[in-house]
Amino acid sequence: MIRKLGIVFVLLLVSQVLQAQQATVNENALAATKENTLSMFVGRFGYFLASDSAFKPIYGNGTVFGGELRLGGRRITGWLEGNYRARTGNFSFTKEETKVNVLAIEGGALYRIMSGKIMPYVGAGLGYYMYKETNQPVGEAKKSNIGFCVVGGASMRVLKILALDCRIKYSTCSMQPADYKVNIGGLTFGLGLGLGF
Amino acid sequence: MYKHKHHGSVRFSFLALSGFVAALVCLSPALARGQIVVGTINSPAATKWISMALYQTGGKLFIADNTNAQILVYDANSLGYLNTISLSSFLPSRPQTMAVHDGTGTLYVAVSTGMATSDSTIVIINAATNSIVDTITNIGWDVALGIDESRARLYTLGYISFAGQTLTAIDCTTNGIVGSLNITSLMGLGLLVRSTDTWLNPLTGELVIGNLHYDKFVVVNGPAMTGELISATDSRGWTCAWNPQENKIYIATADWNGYFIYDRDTKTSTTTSCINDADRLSYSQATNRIYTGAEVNGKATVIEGATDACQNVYVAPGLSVVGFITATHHAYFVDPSSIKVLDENTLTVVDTISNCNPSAYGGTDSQVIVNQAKGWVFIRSYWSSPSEGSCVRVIEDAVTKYSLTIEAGEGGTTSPSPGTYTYNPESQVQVTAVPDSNCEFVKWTGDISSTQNPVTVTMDSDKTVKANFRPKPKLTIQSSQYGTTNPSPGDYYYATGAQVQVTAVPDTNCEFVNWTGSISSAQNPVTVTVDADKTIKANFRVKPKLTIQAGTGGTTNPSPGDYYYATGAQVQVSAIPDTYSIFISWSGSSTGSANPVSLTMDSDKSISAYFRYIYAPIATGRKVLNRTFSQAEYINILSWRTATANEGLDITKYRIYTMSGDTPTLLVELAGDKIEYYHRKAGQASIQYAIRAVTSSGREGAPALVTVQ
Repeated sequence: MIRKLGIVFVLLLVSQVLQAQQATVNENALAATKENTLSMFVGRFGYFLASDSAFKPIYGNGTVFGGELRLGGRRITGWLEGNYRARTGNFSFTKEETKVNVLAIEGGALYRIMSGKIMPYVGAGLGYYMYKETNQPVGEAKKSNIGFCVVGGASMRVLKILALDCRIKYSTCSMQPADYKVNIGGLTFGLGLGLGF
Repeated sequence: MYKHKHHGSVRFSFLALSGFVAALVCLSPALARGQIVVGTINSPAATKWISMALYQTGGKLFIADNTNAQILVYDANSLGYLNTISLSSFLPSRPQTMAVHDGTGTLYVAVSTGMATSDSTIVIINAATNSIVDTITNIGWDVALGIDESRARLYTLGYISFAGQTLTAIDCTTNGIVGSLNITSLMGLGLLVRSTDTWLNPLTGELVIGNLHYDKFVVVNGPAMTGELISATDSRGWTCAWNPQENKIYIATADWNGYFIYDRDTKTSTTTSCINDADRLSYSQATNRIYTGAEVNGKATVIEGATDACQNVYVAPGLSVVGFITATHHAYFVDPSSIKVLDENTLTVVDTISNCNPSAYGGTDSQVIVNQAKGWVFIRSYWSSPSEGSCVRVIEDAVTKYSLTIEAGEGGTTSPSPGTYTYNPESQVQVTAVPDSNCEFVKWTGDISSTQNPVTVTMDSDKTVKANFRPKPKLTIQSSQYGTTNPSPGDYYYATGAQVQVTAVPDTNCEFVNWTGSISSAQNPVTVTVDADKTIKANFRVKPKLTIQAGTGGTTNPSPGDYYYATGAQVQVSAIPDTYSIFISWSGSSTGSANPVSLTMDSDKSISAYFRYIYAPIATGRKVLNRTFSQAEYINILSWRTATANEGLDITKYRIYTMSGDTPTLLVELAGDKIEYYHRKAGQASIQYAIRAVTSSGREGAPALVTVQ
């Protein structure tokens, strides 16, 4: 249900961004074309805060790595991202070691506000999340599912083709790989370095 | 060797019951060289005695008077006249041949009118009462009668006509015809002949019937009345005879060139090399020989039954009929005028006796009957002239007997009992020495020196034998307390030198020690040679006792109790702990913890087995959740500590079982220093566990049952 509502939200967001883009394109189109790099590859590093309360006691919060490709127009652009996070934790009683890996492929649309060197943006999209938990005492739990995500952030051009990017992403994806139904999404604070082309 | 007796001549006559003079009996003068004429029975003139028969068991001599159609009955021992049996009712048939079944006491008389007629009748007479009891008619002209006593069969061979000579079998118990066989059809047309006395083999029941004109003869299986035609070269002959001992058939060949011999067992034939002019084959059982008469040239042929070797022996011309006295090995050659006695051992004529009418010659018939038991020879003759009479001469040919005196010394007797007995020469007499109780035979003395018992005495002279006895040596058997013997203690008498086995038999829980007295031995049983009076004693004692005890928590094998073993016996005792218990050690005559333990029973001993109970550990359990982000397991945590009562026991392991009802399944085996166990992935369900301490010897203790929910 949450995933369906997320998808509806993303579609509404995209339609609003497209309308806004249509209204402002005439005003700023020329200036923006001259000053911003609109397609770029962004390398990312972030810090992940899990949504599911059961995650943190076992694995805690942690880093996430990924890469993003932005393609498209000036205010409205497409976005495709892959990220990976891995954590080592302990069983709740025996404190034996257990490991978790999440690989996510996410994509969607961004709406950018053309405001000079700093260019805020918001966006939404869908993601495909692959989950695997392994440990010696119990074994391996493995599952994949589709979730959705929303992002918000800002890019700042520091050189002609180089930009800094910071953003917040919220993702959600529920599944039951083994004994418990879990949400492997969460809030990610990320920094990125973009290379325009 | 032979008695030489001389008798005066006595002649007397008697009047037959039928009203005419039947016979004259005279006692003749003594003869030289061992044979005496004990009497002669003479007929009136113009009387033909055509045959005679001896009823040996009843002591009667029957004479067939063909002329007067009657049977004369004489005492066969005294030659006195007894009776006349008239057969006039059968005229014109007259008596011909006769035969006696000694076992049933029956006289069979063939009556007929003569050759080539078919009106023959067999008259059956009770030989004891001299009365006619039955007749069998119309069986042809009977030329021969033969009796197989062991099979109760009478055989008649007669002419119904020249086209059909028939052999008839009559059951001597029912006097009924039980079979007939047409010999002519079986053989083909021809003149059939037979031997007078020996055409029946009494051992096999077979009969032989020859053929004068063709090389063939018939062997009849008497009991089955089936005939077998045998064709063989030179088997054409005048008379036939059996050698029952060799199962051979002899035929005097018709061309006088020798004698045909047929081995009935091998079914092969041969002919002798001896050529003679005679018929009348006769079998001598004493020498297993076949003899012929000495018809023309005075020579008789003697054929050895075993080898078929033959030789011609001169007797005298004209002697045809042969009879034998087996005890003296004498063969009698007879014709109406003279009698020659041939010694079968030397094959020489040892005596000549005149027949009862030497003036006649060529009597158409002579007949010899021998009473072997009495040693008498009956010789019947009749004259050829119808105006003359007939006679029967009786000769005694008995032998001198020797005396055997049997004596018995002190301590026994003999069998036959001591006394004097007489036996025939060359008799083999068995004498048995019979010792009294506790005495034994020693040896024979006298004319025999021997230790054999019984002993066989050959009676070749008067003899004396004595059986000598002596007391047997005594064996005295004794026993001490705690036992007995087998044979039981007492005095026993055995033959000198006897090997006697004596067994010492101890009482319960006692044992044999040794023998003392005349022997010194520890063997059991012991064999004593009783060559003199001896005394032996069996000594016994009580066996060493082993007392076995067991403490709480176990038992032993053998079970606790008192046991007795032979001195020096090696006894193994095992300690067997109960469930949840452990054997610790032995005490008493044996110490240590070896299990089983061996004891040498050289004296009374006692041992006790000590056991300890292995108590359950004191244990608890709880269930905990062990999870990751997406996975979870339940762990049943078992904790325990050793029971203080187990102190001192070497607990080296703990075994944890899961219980399914009362059935444990081993879950894990842990070292003895462990006090906790995590049962991983135990699930949420309740599980009952059994925790057991295990000693270094592998003994499991009592279980601690813990249920984790």
